[in-house]
Amino acid sequence: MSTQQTDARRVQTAGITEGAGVTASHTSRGHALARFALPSIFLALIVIFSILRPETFATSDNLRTTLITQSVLAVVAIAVLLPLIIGEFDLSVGANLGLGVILTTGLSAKQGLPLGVAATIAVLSCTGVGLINGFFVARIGINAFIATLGTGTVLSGAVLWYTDARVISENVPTTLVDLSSQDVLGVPTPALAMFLVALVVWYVLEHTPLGRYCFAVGGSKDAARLSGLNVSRLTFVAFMTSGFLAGIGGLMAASQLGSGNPDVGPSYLLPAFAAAFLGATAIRVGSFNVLGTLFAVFTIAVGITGLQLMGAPFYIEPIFNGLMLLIAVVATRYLQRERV
Amino acid sequence: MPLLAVRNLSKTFAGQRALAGVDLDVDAGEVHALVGENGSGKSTLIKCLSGYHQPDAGGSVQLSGEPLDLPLTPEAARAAGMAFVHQDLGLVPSMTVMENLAIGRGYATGRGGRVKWRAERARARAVLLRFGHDVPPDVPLRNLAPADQTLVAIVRALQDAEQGGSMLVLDEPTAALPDREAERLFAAVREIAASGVGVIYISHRLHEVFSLADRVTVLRDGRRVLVDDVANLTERQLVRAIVGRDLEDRFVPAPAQTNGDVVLEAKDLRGRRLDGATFAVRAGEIVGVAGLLGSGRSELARIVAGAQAPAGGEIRLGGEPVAFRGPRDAIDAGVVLVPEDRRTQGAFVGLTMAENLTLPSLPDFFRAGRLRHRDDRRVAEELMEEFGIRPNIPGRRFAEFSGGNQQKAVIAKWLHRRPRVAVFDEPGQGVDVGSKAEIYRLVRAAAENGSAVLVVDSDLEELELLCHRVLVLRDGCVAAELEGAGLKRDRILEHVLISQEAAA
Repeated sequence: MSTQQTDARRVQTAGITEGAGVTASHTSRGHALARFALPSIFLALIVIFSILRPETFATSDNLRTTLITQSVLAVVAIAVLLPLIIGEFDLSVGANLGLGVILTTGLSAKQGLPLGVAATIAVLSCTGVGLINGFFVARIGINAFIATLGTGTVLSGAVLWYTDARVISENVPTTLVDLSSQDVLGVPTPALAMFLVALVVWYVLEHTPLGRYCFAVGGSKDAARLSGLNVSRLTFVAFMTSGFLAGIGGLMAASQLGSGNPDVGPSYLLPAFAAAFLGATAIRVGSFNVLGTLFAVFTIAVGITGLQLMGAPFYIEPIFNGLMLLIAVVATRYLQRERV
Repeated sequence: MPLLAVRNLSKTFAGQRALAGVDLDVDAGEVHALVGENGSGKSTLIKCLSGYHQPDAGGSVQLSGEPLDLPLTPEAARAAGMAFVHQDLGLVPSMTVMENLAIGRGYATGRGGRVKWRAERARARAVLLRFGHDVPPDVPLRNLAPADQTLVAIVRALQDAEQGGSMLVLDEPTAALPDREAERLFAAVREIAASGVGVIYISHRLHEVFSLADRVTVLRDGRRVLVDDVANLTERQLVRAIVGRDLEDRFVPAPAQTNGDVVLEAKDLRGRRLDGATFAVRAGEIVGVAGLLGSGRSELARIVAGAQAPAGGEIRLGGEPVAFRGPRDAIDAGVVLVPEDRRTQGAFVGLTMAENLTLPSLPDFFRAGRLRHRDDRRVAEELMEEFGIRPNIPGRRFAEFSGGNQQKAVIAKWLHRRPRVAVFDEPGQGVDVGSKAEIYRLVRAAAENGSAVLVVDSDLEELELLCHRVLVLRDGCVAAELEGAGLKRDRILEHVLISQEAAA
C-alpha cells in the first residue's frame, strides 16, 4: 500500500476522536513517534516481561492463551470501529454479542437444533440487530448513541428472559468447544478467525472505494450526500457489519466458554471502545484503524498478563486498561502539539 | 493623537516573517478597514493584539496614549478596552441572548449562589439598548436573524467597556450574512463608532470597505503597503494595493453572447421559497441568479442539482424531463453543484486533498479488487496543476490549504468531469481577491468548455462581470432578466429591492 496516500489520512471523525483527546488539526504526516508509540510499548512490554519472567511469560503456551482469550475482544473492537468511522456510536455491540452467545448455545442445547443451524441463526439475528440500528439512525434519524443504547438495553433484557438469568450449560454440544480448541497450520482457530476478520475489514477500509466512502461520511454527512454518496445505505452497511461481527464474536465466545452466560456480552462493550480509541492513537494517528486497534488490544493484554505473572492482583486489569487509554491519548496530543 | 497606535509590530513563525514592522493607527470614532489577501498578515496582526500570538521584540502598542506591555495576554487586552468579535462568533445558539451575554462575564448571584434572574434580565436589556439593539433577552439566540446574532456578539464584547476609549475589532463579520442583513449590521457599527469607539473592520468585500470605512490599511506579505482615507481611493487602486498588480480580467467586459443549445430548462419550479420559477440556460452560457436571502436563490441551486426535492414544476435536461431522487442522480446526469459552504458541504476537511478531489470518481480507480492509490494520486496531482491549487501536495490535509485553494479544489472536483450543467452557489465566498479572480476564471472556463453554468451570488458586482444574463429572484419567482447593456450592478440591485420598497 502506498504510504503517502494512507498515512496522511486523518481524523474524519473529528468530533469523536477529538472528544477522546486526539487532535485533528495538526500535521499531515502522523508524527513518527506518535504513530509507533503504541507498537513500541507493545514490544517493550514483551521484552521486559520476558526478561523478568522467562519461565512463565516467554512461553508458547502464554502466547496461545493470550491470542485465544483476546480474539473475541479484538473482533468486538473491530465491530465498533465501523460505526465510529462513519461518525456514529454502536453501544449495542456488547448486548448483541451476548445475544449471539445465548442463541448459539441455547438453540442447540434447549431447542436441540444442529449447531451449524443455531450458529447461523445467531449470527443472522445479530446482523438483524444491526439492521434495526441502521434503520433507527439512517431512516428515522435518531442519534445513534441513543438508538443503540435503546436496542442494546432491550437485547440484554431479552437475553435474561430467554435464559431466565441462568447460565446455559447442559446439553451444549461438545463440537462447539471443539471448534475453538483446534489448530489450523499451528494457529489456534479463534486467533485465525480474528486475523481473518481484521484482514477483511482492513482491506475494505484501505483498498476499496467503500472504505473511502465510510471515512467521507464520517467527515461530513452533508458533503458526502452532495458528493453523490448514499449516506443512508453506508450507515446501514456500517451498523449491519458491526452487528454481524458482534455475532461472530458471540459465536467465538460461546465456543470458548462452552456455555451460554447471559452476563458475558455487556462486559465487552467498554473495553472494545477503549481499544478502538487507543488504536486511533497509533499507526494512523487520529484516525480509527484496524492495525492500531489490534495493537491496542494486545498491548493491554500483554501488560495485564505480565503484571499478573509478577503477582499483581486481579483488579489490575481495568485499572491498567483505563490508564493506558488516558496516557496514550494525552501523549498523542502532547506529541502532536509539540510538532507545530 | 490616535486611540490605538501600533508601531513596528513584527511576528516570525519558524523563521517565516508573517508580519514585518507594521504600523496601524485608529482614531476614536473611526471605522478603519484592514484588508489584504489571505496570508497577508491581517489575522496575525489581530492575534498579536488579542494576546493570542506573541509579537517579536521591538514593536509597541499604545491605547489612548498609554503604552501596553507586550506581549499582551487576552486578559490584558480585554482590560485595556480592546474587544474582539471573530468570524465564528463564539456564541451558544441554544442559549438565550441574556445567557450568551453572561458567558465569560458571570451572573449576578444572590445568597447560596442563586442567579438573580430579574436583575440579569434588566441588565441585559439595558446593555442591548445602550447599543441600540432592541432584542428580547429571553429569546434563544438561534431564533435571531444572523445579523442580530452578530450584534449580540458585538454587544457582549463591548458590554463592560466604558463609553468611548475602547477598541472594537470585527473580523469578517459579514462573511455569513446576506446583503440586507449586512446593511443593518453596518448601521449598528456606524453608531458604535459614532459613540467614540475605534473600530477595526476586516473584510474581503471591497464595496463594504467603501460604504462603511473612513480609512483603510492594506497589508501585503506582512507589510503595510497603503493607508489612506477611503474617499481618496478608487476600487481599482485598492485592488492593486492588495494584490500588488492589476487584476486585468476582473475588469474585462462580460463575455460574448453564446448561441449554444438549451441544456437546462426549469418550468414553474416550486420549493419552500421558490414559487414558480421558469428559466433556461444554454450550453456555454453563464446565467447569474440574484436575490435577497429568502428569495429562493440557494434553493434554486439545490433543486437543480438534486440536493433538494422540488415541491412542483419541471426540470428538463437536453429536452428530456428529469426527476432527481438525490445528488447521485444529478451527478450521473451531468449536473454538479459547488455548494455554498465548502467546509461542511463541499469538502471533507479531515481527508487529504487527493481524497477530496477523486471521491466522485473513485470507482475508476478500483480495478481488479483494489484501489489503485498511485493512479488516484497522479490524477489528483494533475488536477491540482490544471486548476492552480497550491501547494501541489496531494497528500496534504484539505484543512491545511487556504480558503481560495480549498474552493478551487471543490470546483476542480466537479469541473474535471466536464458536466453538462454546473451550478455554483456563492463561489467567491470567503476567499481573497486574488483567488477570487482565479475562481471566476474557472467558472468562465467551465462555460467555454460547453457547460451550462448557473451562478448564485450575493456579490452583484461579480454577477455583472461574470454573467451573460442575470435572473433576479423575488418572492420565489424570476422577477426580471437582465442582459447586455442592461446588465449592471445597480440595475440588478434595483430589481432585487423593488418589492421591499413597495411593501414599505
